[in-house]
Amino acid sequence: MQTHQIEITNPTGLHTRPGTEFVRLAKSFSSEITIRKGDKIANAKSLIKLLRIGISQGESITLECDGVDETEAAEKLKQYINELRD
Amino acid sequence: MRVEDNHLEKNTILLRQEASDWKDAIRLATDLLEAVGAVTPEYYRGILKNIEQNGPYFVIMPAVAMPHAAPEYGVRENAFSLVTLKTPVHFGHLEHDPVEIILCIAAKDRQSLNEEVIVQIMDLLDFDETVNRLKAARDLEDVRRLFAALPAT
Repeated sequence: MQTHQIEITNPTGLHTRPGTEFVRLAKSFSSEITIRKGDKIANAKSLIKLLRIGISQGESITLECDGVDETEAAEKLKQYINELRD
Repeated sequence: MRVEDNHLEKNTILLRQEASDWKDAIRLATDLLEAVGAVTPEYYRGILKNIEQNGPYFVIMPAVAMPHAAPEYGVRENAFSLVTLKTPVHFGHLEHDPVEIILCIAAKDRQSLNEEVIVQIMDLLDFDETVNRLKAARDLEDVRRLFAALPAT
């Protein structure tokens, strides 16, 4: 399993629009992909579950990828979050 | 603020409405928010601008739209309104059209949007029965019963 700590730096956080893209990207991998924030945990392939956690600027989340393509999944998803600007 | 308190106390629910198109559907929902003083007329324009720039990404699941704009567009307090449509309308979303349920949300700042208002809507939508029960709802009592049936969070 790949585990990465990621800081959310874009002003609007991982809200509906970037969240939609993030989920689409997560679904393109066969690995199980999970986001944790504190004691909250979400399946990153469900927008509803992801938005239920509520992720804002300045927060730290943990990305977990588990499966045959976990390395590529973790890399791409981390890059996606790090490149969010607005 | 729980989802049912906000809706039922402030009367921001309209069921089985007719809308001529997606703009009209959004207008019904933002009018409810304006009527309770949660947003100014600027909010409706903010939502249209958001769609122009970003497309109908807020149609978040089949039949359900969650229109919103940034807090700067005249939001006075955190709130949401619910409109269901007798005849579904198209928003131009490739997967989730047509839309029958409009959950219009507004938040005073980005953090309460992400961590309070959207979370409450997701708590509602994460319940398997929500969409079908909202589509079928005839009166506020049906909505009240749905809210009462939501699993505790």
